[in-house]
Amino acid sequence: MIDTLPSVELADPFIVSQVKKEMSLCAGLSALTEWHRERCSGYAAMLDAIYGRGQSLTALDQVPYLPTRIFKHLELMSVPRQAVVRQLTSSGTTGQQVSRIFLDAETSALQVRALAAIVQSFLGKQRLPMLIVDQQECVRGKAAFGARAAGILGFSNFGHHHLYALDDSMQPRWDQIREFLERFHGTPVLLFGFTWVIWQCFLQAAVRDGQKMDFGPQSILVHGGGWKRLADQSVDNPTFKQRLAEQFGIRRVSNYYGMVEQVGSIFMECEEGYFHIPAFADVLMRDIHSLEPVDSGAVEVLSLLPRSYPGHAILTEDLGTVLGRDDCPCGRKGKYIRIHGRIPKAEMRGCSDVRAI
Amino acid sequence: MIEYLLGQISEEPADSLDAMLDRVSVASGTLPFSAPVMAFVAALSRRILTNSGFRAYPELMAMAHWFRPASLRDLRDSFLDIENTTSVFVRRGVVFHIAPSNVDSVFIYSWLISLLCGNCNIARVSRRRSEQMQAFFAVASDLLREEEFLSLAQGNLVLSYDHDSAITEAISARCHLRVVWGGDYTINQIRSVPLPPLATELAFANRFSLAVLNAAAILALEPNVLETLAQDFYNDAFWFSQQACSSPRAVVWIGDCEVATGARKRFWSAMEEQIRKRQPEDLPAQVMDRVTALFRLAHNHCNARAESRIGALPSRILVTELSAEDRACHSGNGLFIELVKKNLYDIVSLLASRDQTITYFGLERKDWIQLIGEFPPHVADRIVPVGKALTFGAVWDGVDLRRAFTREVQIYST
Repeated sequence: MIDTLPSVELADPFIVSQVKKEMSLCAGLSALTEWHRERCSGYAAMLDAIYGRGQSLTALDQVPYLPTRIFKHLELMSVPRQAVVRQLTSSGTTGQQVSRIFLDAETSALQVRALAAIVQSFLGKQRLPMLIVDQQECVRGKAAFGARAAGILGFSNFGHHHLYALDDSMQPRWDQIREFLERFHGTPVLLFGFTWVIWQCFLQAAVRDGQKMDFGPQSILVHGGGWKRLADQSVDNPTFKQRLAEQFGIRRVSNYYGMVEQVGSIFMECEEGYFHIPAFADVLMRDIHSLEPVDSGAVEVLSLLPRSYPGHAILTEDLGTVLGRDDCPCGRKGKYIRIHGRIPKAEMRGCSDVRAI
Repeated sequence: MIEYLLGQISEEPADSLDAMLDRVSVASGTLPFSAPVMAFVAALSRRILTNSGFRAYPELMAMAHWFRPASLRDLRDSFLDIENTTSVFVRRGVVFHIAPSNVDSVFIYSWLISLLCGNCNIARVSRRRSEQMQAFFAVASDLLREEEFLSLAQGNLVLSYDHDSAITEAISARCHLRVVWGGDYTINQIRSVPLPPLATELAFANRFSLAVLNAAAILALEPNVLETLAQDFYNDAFWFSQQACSSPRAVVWIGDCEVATGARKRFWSAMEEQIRKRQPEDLPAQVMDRVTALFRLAHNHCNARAESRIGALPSRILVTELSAEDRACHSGNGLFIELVKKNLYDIVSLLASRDQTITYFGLERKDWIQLIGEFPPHVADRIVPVGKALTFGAVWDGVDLRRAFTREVQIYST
């Protein structure tokens, strides 16, 4: 029985070279695999059936992974239910099942510290006045949190004088926003929100309402949650950035790639436009048919953070490409990647509304 | 938006749905298997069978073959034989067919059998249409425009619309029989739309199907026979990405452990060869579905064992029991749940009421006759040799469609 796990080195997550990082990750993820196998019987059943028992890992691509959709179907946890302090749910569209992720105090704290370590590398140590582009309702007193609430709460730690920019019907509170801007005139502001919320409820609303303002060249906007809705309207990252600059004078915009299944291990977009993987996490791309490791394929995410649920190695349904290792012009070490979006849905989904002969 | 695929009369404007539905409801029907309807179906079958363009669509060719004139006569005679001195079969009236989205050709069987029974028909088909269905609608609509079949065009309408309960209500209000080929979810949706008091409904729910293979028989096969078996099994399982209700999703091996191990090795390597040759569609989303289902199946059991690498086509998992969850989480795409049982009798405890088609190899009809009395209720509507899983029959899910699409009128002599 594994009683303790090696502690996770969180400080300076972008100074470790890929080779060094893989060695320590391999040991850590291997220990985590055994940790969860001993504590989560459902996980053990899947591992035994699919990967067999007692294989020792020599490379990251050998870490047993779970398909991301499994969290929509199963409640997997490696701690007693009473130790769960927070349940996260994915934002799935209406009618879809949502993922359920169970956090204990330790994992939750680890996520907060990990996020801080990552974000500091992009925002600096200084806390900034913060405009949250969402409604406050989103985070009000619930034990179960969706992806939006988890993101808002996580990032709130990097700001002060938080203002929720939207009212309860998702309309911008322009008066308060202008007041906020005047009050902090000349200081950089941190803006945070979900990608589609910023686009639809902030940018497009500003155009509609004839609101134009200048947040100043040092303000920074951080956003995440995926491009699906924007892609449907043919809005890409350069367009998104250009419109933010035109409408609000925001020049620094950083997208992040993250998911409720691995809160804390987010990949932030650097000044060069690439997502960076922190030292306590990694990505592998797998060929979409053979599932063998390749440079461009389905994204598998690895993280040392998940302890209360077996989510340390997850094969997502996103597509991505590893662009390089240790040599991004921004100076950060480790892999840097690009995400291309979701695997397109199959014509037919399951047998739930079909009938066949 | 409504799209009309068949039966729109040339001068009818597309916005007059009510008028068109009314036109169908007052159109005259015929007696079952009357000369005009037999002639129409035979002509349709002939056009498809003789048009080389249709060779690319084996499902349509199979359908056209099923409706060829000789087979139509059998269909008629075996049905009308039931008529006795007191009973006569007559049409229901207006039949509303709701076709599934994945296996579009089922609509053709439902529509044509109902037509043969003398009914007027309104059918809703999926927005997503394969190339083969486009080709089918082109031929059928040409035929309906011919002088000889104009009266049939009056009484038939095939349309497509997005989920819109107002349209479903308008059609339901005019029908005497509603046929839902939709699966559990669609059935529940459609059932919330009322039917006229005199109308009835026929609904085909989600089902599960399995193959039962005699291990010793497969081990003893000559290589060329094994290849034929693999071809047949491929057709059963891969024609509709294993998503047809009768596509086998579980494979039960009958025999001693060692024999089964050898037979499985032999059979699956022959299957892999078929898959290499025939290259079934396998989109990334299908790979992910298969992977997720594999993990869910593994989770359902404490002693399961994956018999293929993750994502492989086919993927296989060996288990000892078959639960309702196993059946529910399987969504096709080339995943097989394998079980090994010593005796045929052992499958009785595996079966459950969702099970529809059992395909078999190395067993005989009499083996099943002996066993059928032991089956739980509502198990197995069809027990057919490997290769016949998708073969349509006028009796489906235990229902003779010819009887369901007609009424039995009793006429006594004085």
